[in-house]
Amino acid sequence: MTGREEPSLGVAVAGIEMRNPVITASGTFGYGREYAALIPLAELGAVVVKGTSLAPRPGNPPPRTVETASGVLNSIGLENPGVEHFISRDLPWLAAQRVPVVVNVVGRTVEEYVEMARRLDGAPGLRAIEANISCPNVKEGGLAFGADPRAAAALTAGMRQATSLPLIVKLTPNVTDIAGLARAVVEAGADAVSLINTLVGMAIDPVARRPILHRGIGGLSGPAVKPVALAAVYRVAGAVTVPVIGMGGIWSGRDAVEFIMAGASAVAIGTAVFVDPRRPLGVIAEIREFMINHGHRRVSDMVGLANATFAGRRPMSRMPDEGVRS
Amino acid sequence: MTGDGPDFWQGQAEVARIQTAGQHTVFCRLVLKAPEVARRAVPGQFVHVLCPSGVEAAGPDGEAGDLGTPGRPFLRRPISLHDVDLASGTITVLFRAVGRGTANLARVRPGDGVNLMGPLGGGVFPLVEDRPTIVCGGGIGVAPLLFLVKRLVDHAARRDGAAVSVLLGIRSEDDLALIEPFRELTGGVELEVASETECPGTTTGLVTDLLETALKRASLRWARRPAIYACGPLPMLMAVRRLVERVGAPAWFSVEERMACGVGACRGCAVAVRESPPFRLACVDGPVFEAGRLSLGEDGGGPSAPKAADRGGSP
Repeated sequence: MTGREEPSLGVAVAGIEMRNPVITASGTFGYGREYAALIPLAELGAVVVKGTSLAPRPGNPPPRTVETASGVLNSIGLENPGVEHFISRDLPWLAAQRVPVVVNVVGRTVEEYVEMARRLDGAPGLRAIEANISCPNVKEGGLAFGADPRAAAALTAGMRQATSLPLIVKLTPNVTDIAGLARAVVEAGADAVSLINTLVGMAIDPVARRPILHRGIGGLSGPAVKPVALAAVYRVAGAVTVPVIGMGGIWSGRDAVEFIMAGASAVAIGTAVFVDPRRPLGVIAEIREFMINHGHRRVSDMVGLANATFAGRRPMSRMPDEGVRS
Repeated sequence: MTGDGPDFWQGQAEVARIQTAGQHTVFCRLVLKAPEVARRAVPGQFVHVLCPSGVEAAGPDGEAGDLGTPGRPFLRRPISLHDVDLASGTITVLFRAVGRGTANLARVRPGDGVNLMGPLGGGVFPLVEDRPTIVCGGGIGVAPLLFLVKRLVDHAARRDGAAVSVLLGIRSEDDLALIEPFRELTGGVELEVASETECPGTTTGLVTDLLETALKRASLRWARRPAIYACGPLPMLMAVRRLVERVGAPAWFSVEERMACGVGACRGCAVAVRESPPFRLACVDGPVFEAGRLSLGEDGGGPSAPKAADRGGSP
């Protein structure tokens, strides 16, 4: 590539054609309308809406959020109006915004996840389902589906049977072997994996002498988690051949490129949006600038470049001396 | 393009003026040039402020001075609109420097830029036109009430000229800076101030004592029950609600809750309500709510001590 040629930012992940690799993460972007005053959704690669369950969920009592150093702890409690409300009220508006729409799905039992997949199959304008398996499996004493390879596989296999939509499984980092979890869900039929979900954390009020969040324990997100997320993406990208969507503390285009070079085919931005609502647009512009400055023609050229163990398929093979320095 | 989401502006606002006061608790009044916020704003709304990450100021209560706490402040701080001047395109916020973010914000200088989102807030003070009004504030809770009082005074003609009754409560002389702008209002306002400790120009006692007296007078002065607007600490709101329910007066409270996004995307700022579903959001359903909707804790719901940590995966 010579001179400053315009790079191509388009990517295809799990059958979803995206104009760029930047997605808004579930739980941080509502149903898209909230930020519509500032962000034309059509400029995003895709939008993943917040965790949706069969029945409406009221969420946890407050306090549900607390700031940490370079991050946020949340204990929202999966508040959402339920799948029927999503299909009838939120999806039609979103589908009209000319951006691929992915719904994040939560459940308490394998049967609930499967029923969600069945109901969402064929919903007009829906491009994929992201299964949030960080939820406690109430039939197994509350152990998260995502912490148990067999439960995660059973859940994935069940959903796989129930829908022909692309199925992305979102992994939790609160496990010993995230690559093993990734393999299990891919073998069970996941078209892609996304990671990481939040890290377990808490904050305490020493004057009131109790945890700040009502539920005590919460999930940590934001720049504080980026190194953990990056290592997880690196490991998972070395273990599975399906596309990996990487997220966790991404703020800049440079952060995003780190995840892509670790093996992610696309990235998601979440917590950064709270502080800078236009950050996703900034990340897109900064990725483009990086690609121009460092001679990358396509996003897919960068996927896994920094990962010697990268197992996924790349359209072009790189010669050993074409390493990239930033 | 708005898609029914909130219509707000985000950008850099220049500091026009800053005043700080108080010794034990530092209050800060900050005037910012933000015409895009000013022209949209109505009483009860707030701005979501990115606080500078300066490291010189000591934080509260055991938080390090000198280099401060790295990585904080992180999130924006929601601060209610204290005043709006359309002619100059400025907004004013009034806040207490209680934490790392507000402590740093209280140290900005004229000419500095402060990044704002706003105006935010879907639940706002309704400007009633058919009855007299009583505005009731306690401590830093008086902050959103100045903007409200000014707009109510503008509407006075539609209430047959009835004055706006303003009742404010402070702890001590140290808090007098809070009520100065209310004293400066010319015409259309009847102001009474209560102070918990003796302080010249005030009645010693609680603002709710003033309200109780005002409500008794109201039944003699006015044919219609007054509308009550209140903002202040939780015990004050609970007492105000008991008083207004006794006389059947309509009332609106402004509440606050920890916030992350400020626009309704994250569902973080839940406010307990006596409805189903049992939570509303302070940022888009509030921060102003009809008083009767709120679960203030008397009935066992509402704000409570956190439960023991749950096991299970990430929420």
